[in-house]
Amino acid sequence: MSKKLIAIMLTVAVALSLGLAGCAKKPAGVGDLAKDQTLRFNVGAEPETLDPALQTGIPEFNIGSQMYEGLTRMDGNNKPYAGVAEKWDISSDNLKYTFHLRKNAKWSNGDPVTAKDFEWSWKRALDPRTGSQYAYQLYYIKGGKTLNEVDAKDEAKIKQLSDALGVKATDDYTLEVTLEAPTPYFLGLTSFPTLYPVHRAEVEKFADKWATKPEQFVTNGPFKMTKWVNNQVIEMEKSKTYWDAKNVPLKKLMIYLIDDQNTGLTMWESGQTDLDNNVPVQEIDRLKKEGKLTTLPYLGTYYYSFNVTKKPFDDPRVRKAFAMAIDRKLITDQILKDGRLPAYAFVCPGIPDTEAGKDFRAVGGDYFKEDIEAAKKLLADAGYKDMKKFPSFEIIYNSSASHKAIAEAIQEMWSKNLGIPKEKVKLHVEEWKVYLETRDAHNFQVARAGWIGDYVDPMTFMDMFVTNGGNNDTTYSNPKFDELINTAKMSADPKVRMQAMHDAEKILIGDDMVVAPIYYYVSNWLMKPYVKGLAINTIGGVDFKNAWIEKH
Amino acid sequence: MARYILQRVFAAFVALWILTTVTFVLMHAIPGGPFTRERNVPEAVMRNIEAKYHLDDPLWQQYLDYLGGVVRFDLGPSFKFQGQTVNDFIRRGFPVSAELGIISIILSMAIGIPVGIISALRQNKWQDNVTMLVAIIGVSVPSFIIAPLLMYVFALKLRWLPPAMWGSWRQVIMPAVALALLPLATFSRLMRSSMLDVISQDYIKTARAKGLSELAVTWRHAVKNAVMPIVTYLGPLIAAILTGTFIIEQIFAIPGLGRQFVWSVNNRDYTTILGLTIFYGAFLLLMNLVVDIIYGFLDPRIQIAGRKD
Amino acid sequence: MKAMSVANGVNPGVFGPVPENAFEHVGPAPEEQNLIVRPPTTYWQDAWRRLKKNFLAMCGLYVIILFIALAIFGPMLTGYTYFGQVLTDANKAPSLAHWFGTDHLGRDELTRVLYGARISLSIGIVASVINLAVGALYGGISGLVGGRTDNVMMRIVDIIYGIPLQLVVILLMVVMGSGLLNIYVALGLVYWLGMARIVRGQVLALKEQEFVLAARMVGADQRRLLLRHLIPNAMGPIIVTLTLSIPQAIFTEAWLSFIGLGVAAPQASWGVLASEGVGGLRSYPWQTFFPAAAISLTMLAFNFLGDGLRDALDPRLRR
Repeated sequence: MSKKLIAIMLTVAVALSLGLAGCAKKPAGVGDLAKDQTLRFNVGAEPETLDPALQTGIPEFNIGSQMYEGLTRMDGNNKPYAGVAEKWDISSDNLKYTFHLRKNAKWSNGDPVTAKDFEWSWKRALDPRTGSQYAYQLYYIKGGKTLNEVDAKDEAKIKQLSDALGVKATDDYTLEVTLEAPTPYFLGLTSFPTLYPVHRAEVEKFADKWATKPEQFVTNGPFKMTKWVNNQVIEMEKSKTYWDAKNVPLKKLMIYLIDDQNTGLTMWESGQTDLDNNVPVQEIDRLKKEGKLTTLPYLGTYYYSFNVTKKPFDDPRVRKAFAMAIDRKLITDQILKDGRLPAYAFVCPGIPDTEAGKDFRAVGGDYFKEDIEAAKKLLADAGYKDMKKFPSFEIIYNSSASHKAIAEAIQEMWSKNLGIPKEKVKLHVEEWKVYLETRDAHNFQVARAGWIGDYVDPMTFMDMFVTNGGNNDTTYSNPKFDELINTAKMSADPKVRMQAMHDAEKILIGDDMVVAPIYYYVSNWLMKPYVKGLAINTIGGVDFKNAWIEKH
Repeated sequence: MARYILQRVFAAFVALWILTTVTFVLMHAIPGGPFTRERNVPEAVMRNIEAKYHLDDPLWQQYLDYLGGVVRFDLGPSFKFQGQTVNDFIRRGFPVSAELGIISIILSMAIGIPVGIISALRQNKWQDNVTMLVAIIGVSVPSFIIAPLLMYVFALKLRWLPPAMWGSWRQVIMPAVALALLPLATFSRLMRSSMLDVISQDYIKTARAKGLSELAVTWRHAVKNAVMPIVTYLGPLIAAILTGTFIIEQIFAIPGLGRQFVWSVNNRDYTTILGLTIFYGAFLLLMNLVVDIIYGFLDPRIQIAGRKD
Repeated sequence: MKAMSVANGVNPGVFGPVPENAFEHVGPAPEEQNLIVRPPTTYWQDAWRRLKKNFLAMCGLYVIILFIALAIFGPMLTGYTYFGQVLTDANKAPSLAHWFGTDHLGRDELTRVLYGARISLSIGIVASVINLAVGALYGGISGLVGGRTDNVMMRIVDIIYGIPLQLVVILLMVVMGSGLLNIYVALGLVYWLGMARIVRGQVLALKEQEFVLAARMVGADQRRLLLRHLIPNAMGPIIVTLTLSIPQAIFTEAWLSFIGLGVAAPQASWGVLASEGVGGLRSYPWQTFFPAAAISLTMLAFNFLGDGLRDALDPRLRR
């Protein structure tokens, strides 16, 4: 079957499922809709910027995704579906994507959204003078990384590489994208904020102030911003120019910017907001008992990093022993209490494997078991027969109540289970940025860490541990692992790719235990029962395009 | 007097410059920069980002550039909040923090000072002991406990007040009360203690012996002399409270300067750290000058300017 | 103002040169000339005598002594350790087994509160010492000397007031690591500013009063003037400032610990216990209540004692 046919079928399938979903979601009679179609959502922070190219955090993404639309949008099952692009073709070598844009897509000022807008916006995001911190989401495009890494002062070079970049608007409604290597998750990435189009005339006219004022803010999504009261609320109304406006039930969005979790909870419980996803850990037990908590899967793993070049954790047997001596179930059930799962591997569940319906985690399975006796034996093999003589070491974590609770629990478990004197397992808390610098400088023995996927593919977890990887704080370096990651990155065959990543994960955890996985994340939501039709994906995004307020 | 004020203003500018310099050195000395994040970007990209904000210039040049801006009342762009300037933060945040602060201070003085006077006049009687108890609880239970408690009771259980945010007078009540507790307790204790000092002095006894009523004595002599420590305390308090307090603003989601300032330190938002420090410092220096001038009015014998022998 | 300029002279020989042996001493020895106090009971003995008569103040003192004793011996008597976790017993309400309930890791809250007293009481004491030793003295000198010195000394106070404490704290943490000693250092840097301002203001007013003039006339030097005449007369505001600043120090410690300067977990002070509990205020109120109550009780005791001390130390009330 040709790729083109698959693409078309996919589009049709998505369109169909949407249509069906639309029937199910959209109430048959207006009677089921509440009169006031206003959704009040606490996003949990003042956005640092509303410029999609510069955004780095979940709150910004969740504000942006209501106002903007990329080539695709992502549904609640992490599946990309047609956005500004009506359909697309993928070449047989998986390197060339041709997007066909819908002709009725419009900016909020009435201008048409064209392929040239995308080309310009993507080049802008990669332009070193823009200073985007998430530009690496565009590195899959041919020449993307090279362009982004040019010296910002070298304007001739920027122009030259920018012209050569693998993205081209062949006409107003056709966008051709050439990739560096086959990237199965590229379609999903086109729904990501860094790849949104921005309105060129506006950006050029207002320069770096363009995204700060609603009256001059031109967007292309289902909603448009009408008001931004800093540190308080962003108000949006349904955009009349949005191509699919007839399928957007909500009339108004009130996006609250409250960062104190307990205050957010009080707002929600007293009926001032309808939706919030920043739930204080200590209230989870009560909220669960009162039936107020909705827990959804989240693409992330919480783990403890070992510095593999510092004693005593330079020995894989020691690392394994320590990983095996943590009682994860106690941590998830007694401290966190929201049903998150103990982790015995690095890649979290919720990422599809090659075979339809199979999950990467289920195929890979667990790579170790908790076993205190076996752990003690491993330590004895490593030369630590009398644990009273085990060298003292330090666990670092950043200032936060829940990180602290987990660190205290693990300290106690390691001390008790392995027989290490308590004073030899030290805890050290550091302020967030100090902690980041300490980790970057590899100046630790054990460090608390967490990783949230950028896209729905095991690669977002795996490639951080390659030799000298930018986020490889463990100083781990294993040529076999590097080679497997490289194979996975270059291969066009999904089977070969997935197998390489399974093999790499086996080395990372099963053989070398570079990190001790603790648990897989979940995301906790406070939702009023009358809020319907939300699309919440597992990388933290929520989309209100098809949401509505049911009569209550 | 004019000469003295001139001297003080000059000293204030010197102090402000030292404050700026020390803060500049401190914030560059601590680990982490505005773009330190959990996800690292390639080094070449980081260099470009830093170049965009002139963070690649030598430190002395950044320092001079910054001072140049300050002289022109331009506190620079925020590194964290794109497209916004520190001047924007002050223009938006200061009126909010100041409004809340003024209400709190008025509230705390209006209650604290009379309470202090009453407990002094009724020393060791039940009125004194009850106010003492309340004052102690006021200072020992910090705002991070009081504020959520108020919110729980009045917003969630009784539903009398909106839980948080800023805009209507009903949203001012809880934060103003929570913020007023500590100065209220301090005012009442300071007032009580000063009153006790004054009451025992001979001229008060004389006045009383002359047959002046107790109330008249209190007003005419004692209060006027007892407000010295209150005024001293008030100077830095006004500067601190009017430029915003983090905990109250955080808990009640108030868009003031206090929150902005703590965020700026957490984020290493260099320009914002410096800008808000200078703003607060200037305010503080001004208030303390005002306090010293008030000293002279309260007690003409005080010569802050020093004497010529 | 003439008399004052005389009194202000640093040189005691204001009446011009007199031959050293022109007169013979008939009164007290020259070195005792300045002593205007009654020799048998010293100032401090007298103060203590009067303090003992003050019932509430003595109650305060006994409560503080009791708390110190509990801090030292209490953690050994509860049958639990401050670090021993039973995760399956997390967040249990107060009961016979756990009088103060348990925390989020199933540790005995009573033991943790008792252990926390060690840290928090020491913080309170250190903060008091800094307030008195640095703040009162600094402010006193500034006010007494006055003029340009006062301007410089007070601008230094303003500068320290203005420097963002969090920056200093982070730097301290990076340079010196964490630990109780570093908390003391951080407090030492800032916990005397308010006191210095209050004392300076009082001294400015007091030094123009008649009794100071009198003391000067008999030749009391600056040091004696400050320590024996000015500061004792400013005791009221000093004690109030002191007692009100202790809880601030105790809570500042919690914040410093959160950033990373304090004692390492699982050790915890009252401030840390209260601030960690407050997140679960609605579900597990006892986790906030007991440490907060401990702080309040201590402060109450300090205040009764402080008020008693104020009365006892007041020179005007001496009989």
